[in-house]
Amino acid sequence: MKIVFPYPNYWPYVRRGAERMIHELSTYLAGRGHQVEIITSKPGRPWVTYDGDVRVTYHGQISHPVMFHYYPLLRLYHFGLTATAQLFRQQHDVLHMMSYSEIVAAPLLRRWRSLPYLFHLIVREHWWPSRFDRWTFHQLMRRANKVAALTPKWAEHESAAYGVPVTVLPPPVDMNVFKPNGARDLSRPKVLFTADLGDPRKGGTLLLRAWDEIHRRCPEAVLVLAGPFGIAGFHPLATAYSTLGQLHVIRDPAARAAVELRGPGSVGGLPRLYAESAVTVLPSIDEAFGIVVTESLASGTPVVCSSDAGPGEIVSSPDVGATVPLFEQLDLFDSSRARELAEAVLYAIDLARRPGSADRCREWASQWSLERVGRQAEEMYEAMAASPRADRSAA
Amino acid sequence: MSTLVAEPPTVASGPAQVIDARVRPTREIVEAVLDRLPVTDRVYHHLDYSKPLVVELVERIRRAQRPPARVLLVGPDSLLAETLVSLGYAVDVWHFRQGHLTDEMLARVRADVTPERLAEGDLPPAEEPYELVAVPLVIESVPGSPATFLRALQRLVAPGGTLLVATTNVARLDLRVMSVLGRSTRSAYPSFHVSLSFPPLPRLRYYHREELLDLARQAGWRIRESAYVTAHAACSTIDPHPPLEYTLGQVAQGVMRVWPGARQAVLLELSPRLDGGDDGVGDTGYPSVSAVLAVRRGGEALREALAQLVQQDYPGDRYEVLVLLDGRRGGDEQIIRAIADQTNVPVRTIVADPPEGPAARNAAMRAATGAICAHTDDGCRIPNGWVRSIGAAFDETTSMLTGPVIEIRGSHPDFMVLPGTRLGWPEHELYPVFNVAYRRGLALAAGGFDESAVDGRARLPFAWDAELASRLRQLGWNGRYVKDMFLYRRYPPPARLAWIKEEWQLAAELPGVVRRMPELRPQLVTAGPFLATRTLFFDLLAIGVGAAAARRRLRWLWLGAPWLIQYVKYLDAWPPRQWRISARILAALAGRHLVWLGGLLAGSVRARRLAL
Repeated sequence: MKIVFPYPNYWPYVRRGAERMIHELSTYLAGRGHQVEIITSKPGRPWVTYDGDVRVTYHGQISHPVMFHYYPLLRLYHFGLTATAQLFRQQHDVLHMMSYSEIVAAPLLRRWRSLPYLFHLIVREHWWPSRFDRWTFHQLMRRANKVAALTPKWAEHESAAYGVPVTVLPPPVDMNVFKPNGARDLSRPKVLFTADLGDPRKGGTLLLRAWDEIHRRCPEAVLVLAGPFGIAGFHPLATAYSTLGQLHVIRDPAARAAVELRGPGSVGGLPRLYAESAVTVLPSIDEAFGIVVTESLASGTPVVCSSDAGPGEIVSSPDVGATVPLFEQLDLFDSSRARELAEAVLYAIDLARRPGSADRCREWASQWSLERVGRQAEEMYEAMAASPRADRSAA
Repeated sequence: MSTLVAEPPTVASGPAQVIDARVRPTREIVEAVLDRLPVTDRVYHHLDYSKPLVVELVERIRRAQRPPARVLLVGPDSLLAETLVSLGYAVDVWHFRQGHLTDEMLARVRADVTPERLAEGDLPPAEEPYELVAVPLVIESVPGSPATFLRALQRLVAPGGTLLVATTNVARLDLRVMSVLGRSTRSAYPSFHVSLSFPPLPRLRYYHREELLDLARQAGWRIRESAYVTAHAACSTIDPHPPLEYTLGQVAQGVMRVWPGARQAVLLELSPRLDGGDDGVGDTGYPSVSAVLAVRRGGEALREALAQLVQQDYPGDRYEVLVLLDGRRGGDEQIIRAIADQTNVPVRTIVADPPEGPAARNAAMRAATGAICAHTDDGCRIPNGWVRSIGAAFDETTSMLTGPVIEIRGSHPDFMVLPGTRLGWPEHELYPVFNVAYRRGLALAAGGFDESAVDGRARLPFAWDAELASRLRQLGWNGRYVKDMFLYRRYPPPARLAWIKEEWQLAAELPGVVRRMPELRPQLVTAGPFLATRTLFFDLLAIGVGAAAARRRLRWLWLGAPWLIQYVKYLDAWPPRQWRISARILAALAGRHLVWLGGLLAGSVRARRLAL
């Protein structure tokens, strides 16, 4: 099969959950003998390259200060147009599209080019500024061969909201890449934050608020901030007002000295970071899934996350981590939530020190293993490719 | 639709490869590196924003040192470091905790530093010195004076190496505009800002270029280049700006393109200063001084000058006098012996023929024992305190001194000599050999006076003695004009008609001097290409006379009025018996101006540098 993933962002320029999911699925499918292509965009000159056996086509991006002032989504529309033109020129068997892939002509591709498409809902709340945007989104949902969400609860919710069957296709985690490496130093436990430092919803600031307390009770702990700095052009001021700009909320100089700001580093360095850490923290809100959580668990590292949304559905056992009730923006500024987060992190550090903990985490993560999810995705693609014009089903 | 560039199969996040940079412009190389950097898009755009400074730095690094030179980068951004690595340089990095680097560059971090540590001069040790050290946008974050830091960097740079310092220009356009509008410039000194390019250190103080040059010289650096450069784009393409703000930013960039002094950064290219060794010359104590007296007239003039030198109020054990004489006049040696017998100051004679000139002066400096060599001749009257002033005026950055020269009454009048060539009270840069002092070790290490300048010539060319000072300045040393270091000089009138040849030669040599020694331009060429308003007015007179003759209209002669008016003060209109004398003076002046004009034109053609 020839499978194509159009998405405006990809490695190494954006490293969030969606890009990781595209990478894992495309690599798995290529390994299974399929021809896989990723259509994406990058700053600077456009070019074509290969990520292993996966062909990656980078289109150029439009960026202009005045555009970002008035209508930042123009960049997405531009990508949608260039990617759609490429899709019309080439022949593929399956199109795996996600929220904000912006291939609004996907129903036409399905009809005229017999290209079935899977519409994968990877965010919880889709934001569209205009009536036209909302209309095209509804059309994409209604005319898709299949619609998928990341978790069972959210699939149920979206199915009820849009009146279409929604299946579950979670992001996979490659258990061969994310695994314990024996380099964890629990006498100096690392508390890892790998979510986007530029996105306020990821809760980095809440973790900084909790850090004084965590460090007071566990002075040997080190906080490692290893996330990216936001997507260029979006949340322009978020970088200054989120985690990166809020280091001053840590009042204790010793606690502040125990913060390592690493940034996103290289793509290949992330598994090692997880494996070396005692606990991974994702105190986010509105999280559709929380791939950070499964990656950490696969690496044998307990997690602390919100009890709501995707992470709450993943971490349902105290053997693999702890949860904190975080539901809305104000919770990320709440001192009592910060105290609860500190308690949870200290619990998770203690959990990491217990024998057998890493194995339990890893076993838990195997529910989302690449083999399992990849096989499920492959079956979905095969079904769609077999009858591209057939009506959808939730199965 | 964008055009896709097909590439061979590669992994996007692969390591940087060495670029064949022999023919590619620096900007293209930097852009190619940025295009392949495995960084997130926000980092990409931050690096793109500050790319102009990286291009400037890489350009100078490529010019100063060839790969695989060892390069130390203090607080770089990823683009600068990756570009140098891709060009084949051996790059080490000193990293600030606030900075962001790619993993490949983090692996090259040799030390973590802080601005406070740099301010104290507490620099991490290096296994061996670097051929090049670059310090971009760090100086402005160093608490207190950066002099200690700059001085400490000396030990990191190999002999013949280069130090590049880039720092924010205090006279940059936005700061000027804010100051003119009376607005606070506080926002230009952020204690916190977000940068994924150069480290976001708190900005404490910005420097003016001249201030920075002084600091660099004090710290023992030789200035090879100082330039105003554009440090960043008008705005990052990912930051939202309304149209007016965006347009103003672009206009400001355009203004900076044509007005260098308003650009965002100052970039200094420095190299270690010529080392004269530890000669004990400093701010305190009595450095040893050798006074060198050239005998040009002999007889009474020698007696007077030598007596004044040995009577100087300076410790006898720290002072000596060397007399340069040609040995043809026996009377001079007797005079010297007689004076030497009456003083405890050591007096030595050195025979040199001729006794004045670069060879003789170099011989005297080689024979001298003092750390400082003070030069004069027997045409001068040397006041008591001259040597003391010299001994006190040297500091650790000064290699030469000069001072005022006061005409002795009865000298040939200064308006009869080529403008700019007669010295007085005003500050000057000519460092005449009859009133100058050098650090001896440095002067000799720099090659001494240029002996090739007089090869085959019957007379000493104009400003032959200023060349050594110019060379020392280029090697990173300061000169000082010390008012206390004055002396008196007699300028005898030239022999009848001999002035024609002398003034012609002087005028013909001047354009060449101006071309060779740019620092003398402000003194020698004061009004555009003209030596002085005097020569400008004479040129007007010449045009007026020529035009009147050609057009047969006398009114063109009014062009000569300014020239006449400026000399009126030397002419007496009353009583009538003075008319003849005034007419002779006027004729003499006109004659000299004609000779100067001829000499300057001939010299300008020869030197390809117009001076009128």
